Amino acid sequence: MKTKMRLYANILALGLLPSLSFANDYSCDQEVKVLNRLGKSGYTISDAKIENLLCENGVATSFEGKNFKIVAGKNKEAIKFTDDADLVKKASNVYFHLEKSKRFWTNTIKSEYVANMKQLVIRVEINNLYSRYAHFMDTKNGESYNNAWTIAPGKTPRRARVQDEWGYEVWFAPPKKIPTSELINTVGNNPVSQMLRGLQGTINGEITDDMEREVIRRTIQDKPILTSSSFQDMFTTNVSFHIFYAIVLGIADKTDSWFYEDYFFIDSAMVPDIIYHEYGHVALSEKLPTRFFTPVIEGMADYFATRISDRPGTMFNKLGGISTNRPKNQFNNDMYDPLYENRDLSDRDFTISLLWRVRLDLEAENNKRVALGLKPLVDIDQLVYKSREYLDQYSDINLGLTRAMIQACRRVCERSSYISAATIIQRALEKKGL
Amino acid sequence: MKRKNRWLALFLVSSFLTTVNAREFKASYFSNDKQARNTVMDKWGTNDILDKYPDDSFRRNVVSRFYEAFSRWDELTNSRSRRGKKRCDMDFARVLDEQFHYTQYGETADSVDGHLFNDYLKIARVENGIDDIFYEIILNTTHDYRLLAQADRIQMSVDEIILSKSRKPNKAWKVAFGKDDRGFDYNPSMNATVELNRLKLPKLYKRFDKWPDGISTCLYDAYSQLIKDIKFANGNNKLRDLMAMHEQAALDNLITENVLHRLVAMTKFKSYSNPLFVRSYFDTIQKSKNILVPDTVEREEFLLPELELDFASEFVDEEKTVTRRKAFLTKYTQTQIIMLSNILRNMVRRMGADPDYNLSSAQIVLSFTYEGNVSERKNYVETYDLSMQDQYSLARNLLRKDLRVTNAMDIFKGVNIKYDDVIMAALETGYIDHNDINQVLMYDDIFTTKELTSWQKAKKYFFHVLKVSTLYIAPPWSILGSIAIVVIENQFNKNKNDGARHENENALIR
Repeated sequence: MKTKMRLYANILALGLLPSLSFANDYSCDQEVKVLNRLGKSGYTISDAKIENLLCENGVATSFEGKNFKIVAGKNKEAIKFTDDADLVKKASNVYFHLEKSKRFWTNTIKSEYVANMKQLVIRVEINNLYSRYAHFMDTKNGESYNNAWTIAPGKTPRRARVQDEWGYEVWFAPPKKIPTSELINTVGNNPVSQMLRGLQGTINGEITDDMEREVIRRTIQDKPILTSSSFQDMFTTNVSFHIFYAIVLGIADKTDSWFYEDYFFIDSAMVPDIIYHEYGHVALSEKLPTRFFTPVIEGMADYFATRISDRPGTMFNKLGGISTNRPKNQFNNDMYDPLYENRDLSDRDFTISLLWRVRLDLEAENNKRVALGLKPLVDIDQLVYKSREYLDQYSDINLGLTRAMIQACRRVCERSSYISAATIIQRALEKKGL
Repeated sequence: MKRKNRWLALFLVSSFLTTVNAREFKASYFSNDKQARNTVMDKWGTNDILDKYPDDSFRRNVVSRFYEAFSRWDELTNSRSRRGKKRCDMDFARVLDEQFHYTQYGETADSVDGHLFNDYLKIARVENGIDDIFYEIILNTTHDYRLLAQADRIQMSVDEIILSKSRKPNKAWKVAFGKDDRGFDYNPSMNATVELNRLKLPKLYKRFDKWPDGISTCLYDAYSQLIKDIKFANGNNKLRDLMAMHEQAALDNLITENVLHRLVAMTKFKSYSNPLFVRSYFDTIQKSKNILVPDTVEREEFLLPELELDFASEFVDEEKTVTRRKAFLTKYTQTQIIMLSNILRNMVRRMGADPDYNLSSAQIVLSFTYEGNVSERKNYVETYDLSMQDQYSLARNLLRKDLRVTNAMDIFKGVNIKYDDVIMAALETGYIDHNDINQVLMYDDIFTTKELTSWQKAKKYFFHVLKVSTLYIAPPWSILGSIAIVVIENQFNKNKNDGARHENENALIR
């Protein structure tokens, strides 16, 4: 019996030995340079420390950490600190801002899903497109630039020649300068044209009114109308004005490209907002898988990106030499339009402005209550976070997101003030034209 | 009443019946959790009381003693009412007197444990043990009861009273009640009202052969009935006529001297100035106060706020707080209050904001039956999901409808229900609390035409004048002027989007 016990003990010890001896040590730090935004479109490159890196002989040698592994392109190995400086710069920036995101999701949002998440693979400078069957699409079939996205877990089919399996990954494509003229194919999508068109109806009305008044004046005075020189003058002026207006409008319509940067490019790995946004997708993927890009899913990720960046106003603004991206305005006053449900318009800022409208209104009430010594109505971040539980990848804004927020409020809003909280949410939705 | 309206009535009444259980005494009925401000005392008055009675436990004890008295009277009258007896205000004052012995002393002398009874009452109010309405009711009722007790101590015969009046008018009652500046006729029989009621005087005063015991007959009821039955002469001072009637009844030996003293004392009663009496207050609060607090909600302890609530200016204005609630409790019965509160509860539930009810389905279903060739039957159903905003719009539309239908019910005959009353009812029944008022006030917004601010009016007028002025400019400058005005006006009106009036093509209900 004793011999048997000893045998089992030995087997157990042998079993544990490898795991003990090969347990990874993620306690190393590394000083790196990262990008920090300043103001609207400014930034600085400053020193920062990245933590939780894998130690090799007591020092960190690559961007492999407990939570993230930054690899270049299709590689499997992490980028080393000794690699190309530009690559290291991007990896440093991505790693630093991802760690910041993770801290937000675990400490502020208290997401257990994020806290228990295994190491996430991050690919920078990857120009392949994603294939749900092969992981990487051959570049012959197209290349990706100026973009970043989060891919869903998957594996190659059983019969595939090269077997591969992957979890959630965030991909940052390299930048590529594309002349704006190649991208702009719109007519009249510029502020001057839009203003002229907006005023066209009213001005026409005013001009016609003037004509009518002249006719009435002459009729009352019993004077000839068509033969009068003042009427003829007015008629000539009107006609020439219409022609002049049409010409101005025609010219303005052709000037769309004047209102854009000369080139379009985004070095997505260097833009903190984009990094926060993509990590938001990963954090929300428990309930909102990243197979589709819908206005709701994108808006939710945007909301948390703004919370992490903590820069109220706009996000994704252009960064000199790094990005000429179109900004998203958290506080835009756009009213709801069914077109915003269109997936092709999922990069619009309506959803984020809706969520921020709700946030601002609830925050105002929270502040009032706290000043009176009462409990705040709700933790607004929790409200938005819990809303995901009532959404899926097909949810829209009008039916899905609005109801999800009210449902989430049932769980996270102060119970005794639920009537107020739900009403404030409803009123905020109404302010956005829903 | 239309059939569906009857259903609504049935629904509202059944809600009332299910919510009102057997009446039982609760201290919370009386504690003040409705009024944000103390309007019977200013802050200096409050501070005076706190300075004079700094001991917290003493103040709490005073409140407890009041509650004991309330409870005793409630128990007493409840057991009596089961035998068809009445709840009488003077009986309540008697029970309070048993507790505090306030009638043994004057208003200015130390009476209860070396303190003024009125101070005790103020302590109860300062401690939020009672609200302003009940404070006033108790103050008046105890004042009246004290007057009756004083009347019993008068040792003057009827002849003495009349004689003293003949020598020095008014002196008699001045002696009896401390002050009386009203002039009375020397000879009551010369009074026109007495002449008018001369024949029915015995019948009128028969009800006072036996003084109302406060159990089977209430004093206020008997006295009100007496006043109602008297035919007053035109143009006379009613109070003086009443005094003359009482004196004549005494001279005719229809009432005893003691009853005369009491009836005279009753002309000085304060309770008549208040539309709410003890029993009506008890009935209303016991059957409506905090009766509709949502099951899943625990109301926080009432915070007496040193607050500047947003709605204060329009809803619980410093000056209007008491009068509004008092006016509300006077205007509606307990049944009506609960029915009004249910209007708001239904609205809130429909819009998905009721803490107790989670919406399980919000759809519009259109079901079609094919009436063509039976062999080609093509019945079909269209189902549309309602958005939150649809639900909100629907709830608001139904709120207006419910208000209209409820107002048409017999139970609300002669009453003009306002949305503010619905909110007051919801607050009274505890369905909402003070902090919800700001929000529920706005449910009605969409139906209210918003008045322009002074600035908006001025702006509108300015542009109007400007536009007209282009008439006097010769062409082509008039056109350019018009364009300039349009551009400027457009700039002024920028960012003035009104979401409530925005056209959402996805909306099913507006």
